[in-house]
Amino acid sequence: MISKKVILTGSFGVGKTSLFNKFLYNRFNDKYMTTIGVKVDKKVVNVDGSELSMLLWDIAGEVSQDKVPHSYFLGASGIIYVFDLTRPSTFMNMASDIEYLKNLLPGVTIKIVGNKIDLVTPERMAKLETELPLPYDILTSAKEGDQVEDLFYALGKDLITNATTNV
Amino acid sequence: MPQPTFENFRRQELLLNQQGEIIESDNELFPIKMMANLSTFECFPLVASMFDSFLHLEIDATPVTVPGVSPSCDFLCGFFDFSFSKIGTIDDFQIKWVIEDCTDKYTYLKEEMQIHNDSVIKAERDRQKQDK
Repeated sequence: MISKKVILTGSFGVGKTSLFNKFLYNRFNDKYMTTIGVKVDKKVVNVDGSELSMLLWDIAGEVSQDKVPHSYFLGASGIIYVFDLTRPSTFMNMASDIEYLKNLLPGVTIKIVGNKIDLVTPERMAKLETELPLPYDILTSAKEGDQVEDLFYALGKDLITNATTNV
Repeated sequence: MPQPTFENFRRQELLLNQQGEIIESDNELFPIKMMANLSTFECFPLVASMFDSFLHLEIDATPVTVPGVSPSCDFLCGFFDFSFSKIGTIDDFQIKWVIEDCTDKYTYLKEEMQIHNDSVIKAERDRQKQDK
């Protein structure tokens, strides 16, 4: 079975732990509890008949990615960069963060995720489309479970494609 | 107020072979028999996710330290700093794994961080309300 390390990163309070808990344990807690350090767990995902073991790292949020300990990124194949659609401060540094991650991990697969879509009106979303520094890959609601499975499935699909292409 | 100091962390040292199996442990934090018949990688997905990288470290190079690990296994609760280094010779090496119990330090930092993050988020929300 193919095994890949995936890191959930982004600013604090954007819902990384909520996405982690929703995907792994189908759990959601409305109260914001800050994450310190790192928690790692795994889930086997079936992608078009191929099994992929995702080793997921839920790490403490940082306003800027260069503050994350380098060791956390060692051996990572996938990055889920999460921002909060309701807090502009969490996507302000997105362009520099993504550039930093691409330099640190050349060839890494990155998914840019706007979370808390359940709190955004269609009008506000239309405005946000023009404000975001980079295009997003998917919009999720960890609370409602919207597109959470889709996010990990899409990432898994890319990781398997990359693994087979690079053999 | 001065920051509290945290020191004299309890620690456990383990040696892993090139397949990630435990070949030695001083069992200071947990007896490895608590892992039952599960492998290192099953009990510690973090080690599984990094082990290939450890195999490519230089012998006796500065250890790779992963701070603030909250293990997902049920026999080791709290926050720990993990560090990994490669020891031995190029042909016959092991991975040295040190687990340091820093629960008190990270529990304190978590409480501080919660207060800080809550206040930053509240200030952002208040500013957004004013702007509307």
